[in-house]
Amino acid sequence: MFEHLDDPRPPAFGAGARHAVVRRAHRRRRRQLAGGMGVAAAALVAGAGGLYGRAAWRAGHIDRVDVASTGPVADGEPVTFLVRGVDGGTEPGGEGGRSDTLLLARLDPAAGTASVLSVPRDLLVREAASGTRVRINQLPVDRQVSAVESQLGVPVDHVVEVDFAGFQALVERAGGVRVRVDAPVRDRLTGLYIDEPGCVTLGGEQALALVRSRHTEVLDAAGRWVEDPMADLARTSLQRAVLVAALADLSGRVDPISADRLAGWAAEHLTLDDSLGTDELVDLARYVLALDPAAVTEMLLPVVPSPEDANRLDVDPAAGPPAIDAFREGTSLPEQPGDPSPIAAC
Amino acid sequence: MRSTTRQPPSFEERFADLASLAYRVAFRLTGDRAESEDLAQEALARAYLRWRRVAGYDEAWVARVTTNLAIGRWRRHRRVELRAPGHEPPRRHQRPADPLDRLEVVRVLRSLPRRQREAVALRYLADLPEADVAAHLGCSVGAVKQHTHRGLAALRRAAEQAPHDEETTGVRASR
Repeated sequence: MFEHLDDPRPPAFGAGARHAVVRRAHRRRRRQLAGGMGVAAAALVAGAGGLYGRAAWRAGHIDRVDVASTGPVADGEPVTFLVRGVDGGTEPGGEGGRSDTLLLARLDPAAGTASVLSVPRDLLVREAASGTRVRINQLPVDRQVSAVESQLGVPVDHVVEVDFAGFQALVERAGGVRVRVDAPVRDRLTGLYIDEPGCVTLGGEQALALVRSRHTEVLDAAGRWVEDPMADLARTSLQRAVLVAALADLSGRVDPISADRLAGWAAEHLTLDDSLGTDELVDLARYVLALDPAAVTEMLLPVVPSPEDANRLDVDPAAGPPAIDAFREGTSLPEQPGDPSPIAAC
Repeated sequence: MRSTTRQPPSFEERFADLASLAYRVAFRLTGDRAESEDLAQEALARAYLRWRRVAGYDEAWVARVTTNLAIGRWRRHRRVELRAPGHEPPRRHQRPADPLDRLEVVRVLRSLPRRQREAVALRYLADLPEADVAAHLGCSVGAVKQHTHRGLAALRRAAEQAPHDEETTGVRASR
């Protein structure tokens, strides 16, 4: 079948090659040990207790979805997830399974870092079949993956979906999320209401109302409620704030009981692509638990209003490509200019 | 090829065969000697580190890891190509007589559902027997036949299409 692609004179692999491989293996092992002391500690706890078995068993009950073009990642290689916040379908009038929030998360076990790039749901992407441009959140999951890969140029290894109740539970576990508002903010459709300007701690319900908000209104100086066009971008920056707060809360919780609770949460609220094996998942979970929150960088994909429709967004032609490159390569993300939105993480 | 004794063979015993296998898989995907040697070395180093887990199904394991590594590196190459908008990506190592160009093979493999990709890689890149592929993937021989049949059909479709219709990439190219 593929004989025509063969090397006509392949090299011989003798003892010299074997020694080179063994040396490389030892270098790799040292690097892994240096890069993941926390992971090693977690693995020790696991070995000693054996109680992780239950967590792994529960993790085996997470819902799975078949997503073309996702696939397992070799040990120690960086992993990029497409994270989708989805309506669980339980909301009255909700459109089940639609992605309401979208972000890319890249974990680099060798470097001990993680980065998060949020993708506004109003970003316009070209639909491969029809050639028309549509909002990215209107696409089903496999076409979202291919749009991210072919149009943003970020390869996606795995997909994880979190339902709204899971998001709410995560915020509550983390003890709420701190946000700053410049003026009172509300959304009568999602039930968001923050009446005091300044830094406030939102519980799970209000945090969910905020990240779901599409019609955010801000009280202006004249005492009128006006819809704020920047609110959607603010919303996406809050998703990242929640994620980082949740990570900070989870970090260091490598004991079996926390692992079991986390696995129970995952089994209840997550859906994963079916190419993510339980072993790979458990390794990644241990990695995330051992992650230093200071090693997590996050930013919003730089966007500009689209010339086609001011309510839709395009990738910022100047600031977008360097940010995407930095995210993909795992280098530090560029500084983002001052956020003009009325809501921000605090 | 495989030892029939109860005691699993040592890494040292299996090294030459496995390295040749990894090299063949890597070369079929990359067409580059230095890169294929490096990929084979990396795959074997990873096998060495977890030899006890790998030893029962070493050929399938090494073939799968090599395929994933080669496809991963191809993705990195592709990222480099992305940075130069307006330039056609170089068609590396293409020989006019190739019934299926390497870039096409990698691109199609990458786009296949995981089971099909693994079945095609193990069966046709690593030339493993169907029974071994089935044992490694944990499915029946019939399922392997079905996965490889679909995967090969996708490869044939790609071969029949014009060679330059790769979907181009948006952010930079569209502006």
